Amino acid sequence: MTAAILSLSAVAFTLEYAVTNVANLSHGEILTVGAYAALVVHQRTGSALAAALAAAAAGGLLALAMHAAVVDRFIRRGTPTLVIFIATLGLSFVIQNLLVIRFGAANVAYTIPSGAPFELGPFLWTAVDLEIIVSALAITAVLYLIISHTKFGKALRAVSQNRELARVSGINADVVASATWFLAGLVAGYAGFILAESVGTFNPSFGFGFFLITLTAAVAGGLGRAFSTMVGAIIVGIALEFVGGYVSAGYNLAFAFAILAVVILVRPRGLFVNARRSVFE
Amino acid sequence: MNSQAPEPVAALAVEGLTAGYGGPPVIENVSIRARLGEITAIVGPNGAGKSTLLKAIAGLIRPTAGRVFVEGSEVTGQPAERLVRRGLAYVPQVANVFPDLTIRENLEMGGYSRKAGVRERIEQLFKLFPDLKGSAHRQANTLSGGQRTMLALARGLMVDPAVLILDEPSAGLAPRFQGAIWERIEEIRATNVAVLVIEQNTRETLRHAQWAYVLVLGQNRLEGPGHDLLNDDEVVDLYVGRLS
Repeated sequence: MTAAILSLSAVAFTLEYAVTNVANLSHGEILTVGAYAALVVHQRTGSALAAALAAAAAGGLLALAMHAAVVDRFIRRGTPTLVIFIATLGLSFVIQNLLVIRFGAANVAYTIPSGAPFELGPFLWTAVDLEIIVSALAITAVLYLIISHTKFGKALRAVSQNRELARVSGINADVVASATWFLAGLVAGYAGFILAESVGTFNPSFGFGFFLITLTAAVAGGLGRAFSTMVGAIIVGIALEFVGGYVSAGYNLAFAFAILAVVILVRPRGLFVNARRSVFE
Repeated sequence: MNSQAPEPVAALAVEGLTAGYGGPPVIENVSIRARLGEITAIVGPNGAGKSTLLKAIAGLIRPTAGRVFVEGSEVTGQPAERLVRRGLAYVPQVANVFPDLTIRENLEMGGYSRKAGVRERIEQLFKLFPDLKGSAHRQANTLSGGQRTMLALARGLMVDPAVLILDEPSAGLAPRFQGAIWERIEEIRATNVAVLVIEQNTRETLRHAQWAYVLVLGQNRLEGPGHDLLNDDEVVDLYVGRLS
């Protein structure tokens, strides 16, 4: 389950990186804002579906705004990537503190009655577990189709591989990058919703904690490459569940960084980069 | 400046272009023309601003002064993605294909701005570049240097450009590939395209060029038919080389 949520969050993060070359350190806040949007809408409407859609929409709009207001502005001026990277860190703190002002710093409970658990294969499932896994698979499949087969998906990959060449080919790189961030935001916002659902409680720094694991997964798989990132996320996610189960979930972050350290030492460009080519790229 | 467009309209006319990268201008007050069905060359020593001139024409950097016309209409300052639609295609020297896209996808991207006829155009270009057809589903990063240059040319041609701008198309290639590239460029020229080319191999380039400009320190120095420049003592001494 961690693996499913992690792979959505990591793919979104890697897409943001792919079209701008900027590791968005405020990516976690897209999840957090998604979670708060879901909570608010759920309380108003009582519908989990409406909450899910609200989370995705809020995430999409927030990512679009981050790109337009901060990232793209710097890129147009030719600001070095490192500076933009730090700017996104600042943005992360700004958003976290705005959320503290609006919702308070304390944890809020977000529990959805998940029904009686049932057995399927060797595992015990609840309806929420199933919803998370099925929706993550469905979103992944849709993303795969978009990225590998549509004109927009090809333009996305073209911009990611060579922005200048994409422009002289007639592709409006700014529009493609904005659309990609919006798409990534939809996915990350939804990931925030299912993460909140599965944890049951969250606060304004909730997404930032998960972002650190997201970063590990994305870098482990191969930053900027959607399919590699996904496989990396699934491996890191499953590894973390084992640690959580056999040792303690308290060590999750330490363990995630241990994985990251090993990957950077052994395969600095990612586990699946330059390996057999994936279908995605 | 009211009496522009003398004689028949050039496919590409550049008048008094000045451009750079934020600091002092790299090219200053450069004027060139390229006509349909001709190869126009720009030669000059390293650092003369040849690549910068091409980038400014292609809309990748904004000129600070001067004007650019494509087939008689002014396009000065338009961004690269818009200029493609005006019939101006640019093939950079390095990083001129999308490495992780297949050959077919590279060509599709080249034809991104086409409303229709992408598939048909790809088939036409496969006739001009038969090597590419057999490996249409291979990724561009698996191609050899020569094939990669062919793909880069084909990508540029996807829009049926009036003006094809080539930045050192034969750089880094083995001599036998260089010959093949020039054959293709001649074939492209024969389809009534204005080819504007810069090259490090000045002698070979002047041999093919109907008209050539010598650029020195970012400014026009000389111009004339390629063959005449090949016999010009100053040009030979400075840029073609008798010995060196």
